[in-house]
Amino acid sequence: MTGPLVVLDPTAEAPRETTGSLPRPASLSGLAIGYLDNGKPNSDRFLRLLSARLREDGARDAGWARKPGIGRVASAEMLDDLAANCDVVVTGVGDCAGCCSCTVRDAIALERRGVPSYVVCTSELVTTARIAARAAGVPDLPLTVIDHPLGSLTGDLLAARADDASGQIRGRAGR
Amino acid sequence: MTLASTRHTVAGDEAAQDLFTRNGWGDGLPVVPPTPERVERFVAAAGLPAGQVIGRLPEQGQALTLEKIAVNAVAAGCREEYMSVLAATVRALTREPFNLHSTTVSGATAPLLIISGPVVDQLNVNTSFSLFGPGHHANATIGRAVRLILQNLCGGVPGVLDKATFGHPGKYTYCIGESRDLPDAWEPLHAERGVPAEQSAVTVFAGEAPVNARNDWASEPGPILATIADTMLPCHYTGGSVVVVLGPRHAAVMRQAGMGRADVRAELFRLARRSAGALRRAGRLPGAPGPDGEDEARTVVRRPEDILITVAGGDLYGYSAVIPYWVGGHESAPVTEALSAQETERCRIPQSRIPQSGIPQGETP
Repeated sequence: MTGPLVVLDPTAEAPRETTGSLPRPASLSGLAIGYLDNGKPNSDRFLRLLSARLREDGARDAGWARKPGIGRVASAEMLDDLAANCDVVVTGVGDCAGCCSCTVRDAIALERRGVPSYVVCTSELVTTARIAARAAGVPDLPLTVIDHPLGSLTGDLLAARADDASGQIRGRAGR
Repeated sequence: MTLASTRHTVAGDEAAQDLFTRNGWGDGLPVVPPTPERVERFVAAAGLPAGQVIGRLPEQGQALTLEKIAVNAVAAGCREEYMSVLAATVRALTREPFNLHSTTVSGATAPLLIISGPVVDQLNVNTSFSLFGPGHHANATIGRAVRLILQNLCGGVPGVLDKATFGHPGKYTYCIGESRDLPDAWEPLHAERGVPAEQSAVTVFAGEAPVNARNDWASEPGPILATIADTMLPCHYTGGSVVVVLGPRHAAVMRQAGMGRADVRAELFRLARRSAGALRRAGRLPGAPGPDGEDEARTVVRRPEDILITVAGGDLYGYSAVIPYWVGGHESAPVTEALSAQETERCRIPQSRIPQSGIPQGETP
């Protein structure tokens, strides 16, 4: 039997100062919406369908960007550009472990630029998104969660996911 | 020396093991408790301040300090003389082209370390029999330290952020040395990757599990290269790089034929391809076969330079090994990082303390 032992923590022991997420707008009507496509299969089609639904509420498309690498964070230039032109940004779809953390970090980077940002991820990646949000110092970042999977969907199933997401985004307006 | 890590006081060695298991800090095997005294010794062996940031992981907002590398190296059972190799490895892993975040949390890869140059001898890194197998302290613990670093500092906790379907056994340790006995006129792997031949280096590659390419019957390069190219075919066709470890017997055939690394690469690139139609029929490309383009060749890598050739393994049989790439292919590139002259000098184990392994005393190899 050894005596008492002091051992050092092997983990990163990340920060920690936290901040809240930005308030969501009361209504999307008349607002300039930006879309940051993380490049996953079907994310572009999903975001187009979502944008059509948000336009029905009076929102307008103000910017589209697609990341060149799904598993990396967006460049500062891309984020600056969206922030300059948009009142809010929707980014996604986080449907894998590598891309989801990056999508959350992109949203938080946009919030730090003063733009409320909606992260769309799939149901299997909620834990990943929560860990990423906590590590980035915004633990309560709201998530828009659609059923997993996304990449293999076509037609009605993809439209249903867009209906689900637009409903959540509308429901969150004003809160 | 001031260390910043949180200190946990536990009742003893067993309680230290429990602490690691309970917190998911380990790989399932017992660890060496990282006491402040041990960690201080490891930091000192690297010759840098404990708080020095060796690499950053922007996708997770993490900074990897020398101290945290040392804590994990102690836990993995390393010797302090391995610290400079680990620092070079972390520099390599955190270079942007490697894409450490995504290769850690997705797909079925582990960073394969290929150590080349004089430090291979200095640290007794295995380059021979059972290359990917157990039995060698440096290979076992340096690779294990990388695993613990990925888990504890880079988000790679299995089942939490690391959502790999299968992972692979190299996630316990995946570290080899390049043979110091290369064919005539072949320089070390790092020499063609920007590091002077006489220096030492670490090359990291996001690799799936090694696949054996056996050809024991040919004495000409042609059939052997055909076997290796055939072994390269089951891959993701997403344009990554491939590591080919030529076994010493295969390397000797190339040497006799006067082939250099570039010749081997060119021939493997020419052979390692399948038609779009064949891939589609095998269900490896999405979509139904179309009327056009089914004969179009899909190469395993995008260009010959994406085939990394090294030499290692036992010299009894005619085998080579192919290490397939991460599913994201071209989104992760292998990175080679030199050890400075100072770092190489720090990788010296006092001769009397070099751990010898493999052959029980009194037995003849």
